[in-house]
Amino acid sequence: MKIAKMVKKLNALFDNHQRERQRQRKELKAALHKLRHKQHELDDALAQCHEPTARQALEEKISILATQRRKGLELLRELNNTPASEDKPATDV
Amino acid sequence: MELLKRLLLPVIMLLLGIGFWTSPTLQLLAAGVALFLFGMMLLERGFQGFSGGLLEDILQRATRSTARAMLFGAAATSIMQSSTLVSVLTISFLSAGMMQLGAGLGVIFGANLGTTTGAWLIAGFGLSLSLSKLAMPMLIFGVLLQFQNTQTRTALGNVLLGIGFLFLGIDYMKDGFGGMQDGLDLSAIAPGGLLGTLLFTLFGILATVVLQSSHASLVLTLTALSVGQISYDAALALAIGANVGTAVTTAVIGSIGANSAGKQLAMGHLIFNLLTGIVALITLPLLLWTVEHLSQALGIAADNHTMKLAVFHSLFNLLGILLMLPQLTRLQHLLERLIPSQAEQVNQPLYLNQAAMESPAAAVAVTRNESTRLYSLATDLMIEGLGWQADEFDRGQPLPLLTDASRTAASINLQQRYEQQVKGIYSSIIGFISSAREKTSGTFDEQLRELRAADQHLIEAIKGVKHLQRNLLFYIHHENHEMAQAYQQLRLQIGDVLRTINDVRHMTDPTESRLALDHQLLLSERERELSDSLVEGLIRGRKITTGMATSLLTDKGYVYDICKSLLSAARYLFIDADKPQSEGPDNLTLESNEMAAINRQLAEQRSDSGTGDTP
Repeated sequence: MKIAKMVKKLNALFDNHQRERQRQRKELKAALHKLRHKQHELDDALAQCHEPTARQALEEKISILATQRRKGLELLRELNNTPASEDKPATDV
Repeated sequence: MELLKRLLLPVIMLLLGIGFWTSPTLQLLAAGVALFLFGMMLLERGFQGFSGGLLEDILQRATRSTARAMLFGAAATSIMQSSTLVSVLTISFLSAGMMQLGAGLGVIFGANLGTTTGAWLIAGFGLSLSLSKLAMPMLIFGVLLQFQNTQTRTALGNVLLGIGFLFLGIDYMKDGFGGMQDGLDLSAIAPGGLLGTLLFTLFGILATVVLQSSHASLVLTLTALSVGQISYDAALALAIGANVGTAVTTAVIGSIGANSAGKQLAMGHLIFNLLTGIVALITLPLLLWTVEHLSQALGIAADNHTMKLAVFHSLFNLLGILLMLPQLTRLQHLLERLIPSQAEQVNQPLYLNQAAMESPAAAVAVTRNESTRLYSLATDLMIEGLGWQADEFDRGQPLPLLTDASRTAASINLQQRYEQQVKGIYSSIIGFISSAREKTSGTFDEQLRELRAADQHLIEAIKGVKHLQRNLLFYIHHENHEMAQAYQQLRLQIGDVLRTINDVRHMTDPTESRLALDHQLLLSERERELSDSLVEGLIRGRKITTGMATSLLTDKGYVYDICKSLLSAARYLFIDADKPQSEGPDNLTLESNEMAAINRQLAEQRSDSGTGDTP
């Protein structure tokens, strides 16, 4: 079992394509995490805001973030579904 | 003169050819020097391969204080065994404004000390071991790594090959000098005393300038000394000469294409090494006495002249640093007085310089600085073309309160102003990027491509304003109130985008910056979607003529393009300068159809809540 794991790691070390995909996944996860954090921040700001123009701007920004997150999650799913992927799928973003 | 230049190489080759034919040992010696220099070239190329980020990162972090800069200079030169590479990189960083002159001088001081480790290594191990045996595995591993397709592995391969050839070169030089023992006695050629010392110092300078490497001339000196071809005193003078020679080499390289900051550093290097050389020559007897005592303390045998030379080399470089370090500020002022900073010239690049091309990071930094300058010039031009005053706009005055200079703006010929103030800089940036991209790859190449795209977007925005200007300045004062208001709205739309970009320039969080730009894009998309129905409404209500309507529709298209170009330029220029946008999470940027979907969804939500509120 340990040898099999080691072989996989060694394989990943010499497989540029796999390494690149791992890097993309990692960066995408980090980006999605930041977007979620920002959206929560704006949700809180919206709850406290009563000025109509500012509320409108906040709603627009929240919609942008929500769409971007949806797009990002789809991309992540695509990356996870590609063959030879050995990483655990990301569900915590 | 031209004829002399053209004849020089064939004459040298002919003389060498005759020399090789008559003396096989000379052939061996010259082959050793050639292999050594080839090794140096490979080593430099290898380390330049690593200069795709790591080296620059360390250089930037390590130069925040003079002491740290000195330590970095010493360590980097010890590892890379090339003070020229460290000096050239430092000049390119200084030229790019990524480092201060004081820190640059610190690196140069440190590099001088670091270069002495080469003498220690060669005197300690190189002359006693058979280096060619060590070279073989390095050459094999180096060639194997050359077949790899990643930049880091190829660079590592070059480093190994470089060290391998250095070792082979040293061995050949040893054999060459060994073979000459009976045939030539260099010590007999030069006179003794002060004249001999000065002559050997001059020879050391010349050898280093010709070989373009103090390391190479020092190795030649050490090998010649080890087989008794030159006396110990002559070797000391040669080492002093090599030190001055390396500064002459850097000064020549530094003065080619560098801006005033780069030239200041190159001159600083020359002054430092020249003064160190003069002090070493004046205090030679005292230094020799110290070397003897130090050598005794270190357990170096009295007849081990090569090791004593290494001690001397370190000692006089250390002496130079100790003498010059307290004078660093004075030296800095002197350099700033001797080579004053360049003044900003209209339509000429301020940051671009050839020296910055030596490092991909520096090339990206100067291009970014120049493009940011282009952004400021281009937006000032646009603001004035739209009938506002640039300085008032930049002060942050609310848009509706800005002084309306649209009547005088009509006289502003945007095309002429573009050619006088922007075109020259834009052309220089495009030329610079084209040359720089030949030497860069990966992340830096992508960043340069994005900066070129940003500049193109800026030029498109200027052209858009030029197309818009005539109608805008005509209708903004039109008696038809609807048209005047519509054009005022168009102007405010561009103003809002410019203000948002100004805010983004001061933001530190890339997520927030991207969101601000995306939000502006969403608003621009909405304006475009609404424009058809708005204009149709005005025609149906007979508030504007069809002629006015076509002008308004065309100009709304221009405004959309201007806003989009400005936002794209800002994305490349002002968000996360460390990496290209295409490599970041920017692939989450929304397309026009996705923006339209958000606008539709928001409109539905608002109409729902609006009808819900209605009793």
